[in-house]
Amino acid sequence: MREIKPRSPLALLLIGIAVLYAVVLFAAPLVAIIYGAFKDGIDPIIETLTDPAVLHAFEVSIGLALGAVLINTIFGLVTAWVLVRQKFRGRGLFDTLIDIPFVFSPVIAGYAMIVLFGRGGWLAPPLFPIVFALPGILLAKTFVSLPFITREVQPVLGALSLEPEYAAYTLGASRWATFRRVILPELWTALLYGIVLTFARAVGEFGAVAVVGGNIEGYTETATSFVFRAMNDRNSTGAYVVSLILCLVSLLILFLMNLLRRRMVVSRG
Amino acid sequence: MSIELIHVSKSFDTNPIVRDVSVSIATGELFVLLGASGSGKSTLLRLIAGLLELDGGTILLNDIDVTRLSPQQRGTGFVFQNYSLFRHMTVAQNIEFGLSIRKVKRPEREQKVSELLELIELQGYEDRFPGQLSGGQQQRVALARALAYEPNVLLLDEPFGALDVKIRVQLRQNLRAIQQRLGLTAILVTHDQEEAFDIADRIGIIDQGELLEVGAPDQLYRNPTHRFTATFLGTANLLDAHRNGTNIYLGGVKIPAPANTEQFSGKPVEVLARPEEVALSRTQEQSPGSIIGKGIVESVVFAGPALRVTLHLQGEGGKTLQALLTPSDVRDLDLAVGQEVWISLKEYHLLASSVK
Amino acid sequence: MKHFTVIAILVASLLALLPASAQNTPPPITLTLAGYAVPREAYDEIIPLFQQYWLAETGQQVNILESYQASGAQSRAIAGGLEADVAALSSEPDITRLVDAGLVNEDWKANEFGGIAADSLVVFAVRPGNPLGINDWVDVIQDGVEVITPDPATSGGAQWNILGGYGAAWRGFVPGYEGEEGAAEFLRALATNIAVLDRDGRESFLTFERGIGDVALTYENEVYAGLLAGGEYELIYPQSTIRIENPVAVIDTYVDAHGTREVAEAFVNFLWSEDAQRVFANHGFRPVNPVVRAELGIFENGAGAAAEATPAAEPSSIEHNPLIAFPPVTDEFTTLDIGGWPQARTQVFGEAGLFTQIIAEVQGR
Repeated sequence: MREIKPRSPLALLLIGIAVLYAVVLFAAPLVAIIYGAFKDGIDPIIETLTDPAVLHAFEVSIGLALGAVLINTIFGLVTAWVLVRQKFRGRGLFDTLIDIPFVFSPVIAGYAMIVLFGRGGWLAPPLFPIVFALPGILLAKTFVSLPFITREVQPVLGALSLEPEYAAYTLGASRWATFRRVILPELWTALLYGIVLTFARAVGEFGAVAVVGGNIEGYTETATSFVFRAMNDRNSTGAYVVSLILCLVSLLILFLMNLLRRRMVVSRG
Repeated sequence: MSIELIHVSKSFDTNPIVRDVSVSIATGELFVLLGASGSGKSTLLRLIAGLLELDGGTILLNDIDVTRLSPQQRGTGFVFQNYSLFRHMTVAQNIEFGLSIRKVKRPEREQKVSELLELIELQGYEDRFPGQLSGGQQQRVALARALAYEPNVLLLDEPFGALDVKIRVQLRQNLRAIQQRLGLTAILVTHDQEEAFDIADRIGIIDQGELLEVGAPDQLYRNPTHRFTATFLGTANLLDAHRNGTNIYLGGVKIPAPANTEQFSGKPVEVLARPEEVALSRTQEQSPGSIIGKGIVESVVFAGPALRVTLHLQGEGGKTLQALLTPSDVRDLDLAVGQEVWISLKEYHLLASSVK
Repeated sequence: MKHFTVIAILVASLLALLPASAQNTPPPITLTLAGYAVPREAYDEIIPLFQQYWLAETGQQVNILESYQASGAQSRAIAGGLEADVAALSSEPDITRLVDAGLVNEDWKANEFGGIAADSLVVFAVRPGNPLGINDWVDVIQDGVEVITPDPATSGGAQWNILGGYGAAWRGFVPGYEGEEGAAEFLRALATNIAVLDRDGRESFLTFERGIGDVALTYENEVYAGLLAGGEYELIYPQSTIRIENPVAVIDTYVDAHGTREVAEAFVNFLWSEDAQRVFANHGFRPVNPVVRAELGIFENGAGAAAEATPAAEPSSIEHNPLIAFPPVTDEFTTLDIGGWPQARTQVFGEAGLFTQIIAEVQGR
């Protein structure tokens, strides 16, 4: 049901500003990308989407983003648990440090990884390469998307009453069974939301991945690095097509997130 | 004995919360731990369930030392104040949780669930979620959940604290009936003395982590040993006195000492009289009990089935007393504020004096 | 699911780390080429030629992984552990860094071509019709001329551009800025006019293509690549300019670790083959192979065709693109003419270098 009321000039002005802001920052670039992708017809699009380098870049982007999600799901849950349930010296500092990937320039993070894991670095791996190889990209994606799951789960876990957990213990459930059957279902929505954000961030990362991966085509090149490279190669259609697909993935994620948010509001209601 | 606590102690940081508590609870007994909030009663309950580790002492359940056992191994049924149902599970899933953890087969579980739903009178609610139930219904489900795997003992932490008065009364009678029918041993923690009187076989009074005294409700009410018990359970009129020979001296007034109070001989005592034990009369001759002096009526307040009269006892000390009178008494006496009456005690009890 | 491919490539590259086994049909081998951004299109054509050549020679398949980024960044990445077998960078100091890091042997220049894969010249690109009349270095530093050039801190190409103007002034081709002191003054004037400092040569030139700036300091091959892609601007040769020499080297430490020395060296040598040099020429690079130079009529400062003894070229399937010409300039000099790279590296671009200080000063203003 839509309610129609006369609006004040101020309200109209504010609506105008909000809409303009959204159009300039979001809709206009999207339209430009769509136009760029389709302006030379369908052939260059097919050519781009059948280019093994592009397909491989998507595989690396999506596959390793899923890897980052897996790692951050496990460690994010553990971290949230530790921050909420454990008291230890330096917990406040630890809590603050979790946000470092949000404030740290990804490019600098990438260089730091090269210093650490690269040739002659303190943690230079003896068996297989980390930087300028897929493990480095996984590491970079994991790093930049690290805080999301912790930050989504932490408040929900913190607000959770201990009593259902205690009830489960007295009913004979082990710690693990209690976590799986009693606590996890409560965290599920927040966790999914965190996973979606983690995935989105990990797929979209460019700076750290470009630095750590070295952009080796068909190996460490990701979809975002491909876009950058394609622009430099004057292959603007390729850049636009891949950008458009990344946009569509983002939009999909956005809708998924809204759906989850609604579920979260309902269940928390 | 179903539950035996021997010198149980617990501190948080350096604050003692439970101090050296020892008590034995018989099989089939409903024991109420009564105390103010912060008295340590919930902590004690959690110690019994194994949800907290004790600093010292021993806990026996059915004559087995469970002090070092995990909550999972102790087999207590626990009911929390805030129901603490699993929100994402249906009523049936909640109730059978303890059974499914123990890998009990489905038909048996379903059988048990339907029995328990009948017991708590919630047949047909199997597939509801906790969010769709009222507080009272949720608490009944929580009780059924705790009973499903037939626990050694049932522990209830303020189970009716979050409910409306009416539902509270009804629910505790249901609980009492279920407990007696199943012959359950149970400890119920509450701060509500009326609730304690209503359902307890025995009551334990707990204050600042100490279990002061244990007894049947009427015994604790009429003849407590601790001043705290006297004041915590109902209204207490306490008068400083001294026992000498076979008499008690209240200032200049002498009244006979109650039977079996020789241990107070020659000592300062406090005389405890409940408001319903205080009688008023127009003349000295009409008084039904031992006269303690004259007083002025300060107020007469309607209190349901009775009237609460506040009196100012004349003479040294000038104590304020409470008396509970029937409407007909008040009518016969023609009481009015400011009026002078004789005050007598129909019954009274002695406590060791708190004045050193 | 395509994750198999990722795994397969992982496995393949791990296998590539193992020493090649001596079998009758050798297993495929993987070579990693780390290049600077600009010559990518040329390598995209040269690589299949090399793969055919190597297969014919040895019966072995060679997969080539390619990475392209700004020369300085690429050099640092290799030093940091990007285990490329071959580095094709835009200037000698970027290879010298690898020598210093102990990755490349000091004798990398010890061959017929001095380790240089292809040449180019520093030139100008200006707007169609050259509205500001920019024809030589002196025009670039006029008031209000917006200059586009990449950042010498990250881009090897940028260093060439700066040295081009610096050397031209030093050598007396910029009236009013002659000699060593004049050259320093020239750099100051140039720095004042720089509008955008991009990360690498390609990005910088794309900035110019998008309509920013009046003149782009760039390389002849970059302008040709743009013109072939339909860019609309004009190529201007100053009277005096520096010869850009793009080095290539086998990264000894890594090829030895990977067991790829043989194929890596073959690849580098193949870059000097006539066909590879013709491909470079078709992408606007000045070949270094004398046969191909003669074919295209490129001669050293004033030297006539007759002066250079050139062996006859073998027939080739690669035809020269007639749109690309390599005219001579009045004064084509090299880094050696202005003291050599080590000196330029410290005096002009080092932390206390002339240009580094001037840029800090100008941008700080």
